[in-house]
Amino acid sequence: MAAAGPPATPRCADCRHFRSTATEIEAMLPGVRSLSSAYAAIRADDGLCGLHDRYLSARSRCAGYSPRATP
Amino acid sequence: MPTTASLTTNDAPLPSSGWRELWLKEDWWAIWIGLGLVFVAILLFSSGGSLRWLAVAPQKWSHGSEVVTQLREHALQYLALFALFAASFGAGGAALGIPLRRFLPAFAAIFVVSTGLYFLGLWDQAAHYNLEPPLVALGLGLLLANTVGVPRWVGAGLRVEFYIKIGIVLLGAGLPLTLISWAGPVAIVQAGVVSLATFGTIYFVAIRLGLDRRLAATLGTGGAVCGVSGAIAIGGAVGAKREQVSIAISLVVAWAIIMIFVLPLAARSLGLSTGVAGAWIGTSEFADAAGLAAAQTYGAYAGTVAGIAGHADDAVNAFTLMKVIGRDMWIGVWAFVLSVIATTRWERTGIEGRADAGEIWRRFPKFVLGFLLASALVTLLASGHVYGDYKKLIVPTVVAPLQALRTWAFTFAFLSIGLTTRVREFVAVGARPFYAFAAGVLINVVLGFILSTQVFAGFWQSLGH
Repeated sequence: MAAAGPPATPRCADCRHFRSTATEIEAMLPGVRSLSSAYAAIRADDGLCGLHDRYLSARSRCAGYSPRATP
Repeated sequence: MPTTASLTTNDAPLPSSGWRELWLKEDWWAIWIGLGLVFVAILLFSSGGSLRWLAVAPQKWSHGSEVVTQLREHALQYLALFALFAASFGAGGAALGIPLRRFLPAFAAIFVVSTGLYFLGLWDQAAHYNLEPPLVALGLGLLLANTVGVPRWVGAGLRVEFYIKIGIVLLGAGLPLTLISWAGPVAIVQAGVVSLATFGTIYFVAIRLGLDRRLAATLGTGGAVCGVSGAIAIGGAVGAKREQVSIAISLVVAWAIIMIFVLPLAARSLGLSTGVAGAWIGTSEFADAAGLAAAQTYGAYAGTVAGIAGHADDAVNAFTLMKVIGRDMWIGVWAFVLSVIATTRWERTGIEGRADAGEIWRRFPKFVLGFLLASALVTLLASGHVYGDYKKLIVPTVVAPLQALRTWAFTFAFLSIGLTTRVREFVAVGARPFYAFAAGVLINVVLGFILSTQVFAGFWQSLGH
């Protein structure tokens, strides 16, 4: 049986740098609501990464992952 | 003041998607509301009633006194219609996170102004003064938003895409499934050719000008597939920088609004039939809402402007087939392909992307399912009747009221476009992105024109028959 590899870095969806609510997206990408919407299905669960200043899929991963504080 | 929200860390838990999408995405709410209305219309028809009373709409008028008379005679119907929209849109908005107490006053204002615009379009001199409701709604909104400003409390009701998606689902009820299956493949071929050519042009011009590949792809899909929605879908799929997505949004919005005015004007000067013009607009406009504004404007020329052949609905129907079936539906495929290329071939960004075929469904514009289901339901209802009975019984009691509700939804959207478009929010795009996108616009418009008016002209002309 193959040995299990090191655990993968958790995905951006669970990272404290990742902002993905529709309200946040519409505030941070001005103009998006004039001919589209942050509530649209095509956006899937993308969000903005504060660490890299990139718009990313929530399934992305990076070495800068930092977990959200437990509420 | 432009919004300058900053990115900071976030400790709030992120709701997972999956089944929650069914009430957390506006596409699904467009389906629940649109299909719900179609079901109610069919149920009422089956029990000998009709949605007609509720789906009140202004009628042609010549003098202001007639408007007052119409409003007085149908006041209760207008109130009931407002209550229907406010309750259903408000429920959807609340589920999406827009508090009802904020949405309702905003929507009330939008409903009142939209009623005025709807009446304006039915003035018997409207065509003479070029007062097409979509253009007036857009112009009025742009003027207010960019001069005196829009009160903050109105902002909660300005949901362009929500209204337009509900309208498109309702539009499905007026398009027989047989027509969609007949015209759909042609729309897919025509839109496919133009989308590939437009994307290729923007992408390769952008690369030749030294722009980043992720920006090139984001610009390319914004111009070739579905406007701002295409830009944000691909921006996320390839991991574009925030600034790059903002550049694509600004370019798409600016060009789309210009095209709302230019395409109907150009088609009118060329005397194109409504079906052909709708196909051209569907191929060459960038966003659904902008294109529907242009197509509805052009449809209104039928019967009012000399030399414009076809039925008013042909323009909107051809546009929808081309844009929704030919272009929007494929955004997930574009996202999947480009995310694979981005993760395997483009320069590393320090972020590990995940490309999988699930992207195709995750980004699928789900409201298209509502559009197809609405069409299937009414087609099923009509299948038990001969054509004469369909025209005499089903059209006035089921299809026409749903068309009236659709026109209302589109009017809310057209007004919202103008009121949410603030020129000062556009980011400085720079010359190179502008040139790349402009090259794509040129190819898009010319190729769309050739395919609509030459290659498939006969097909689009006969759409209404």
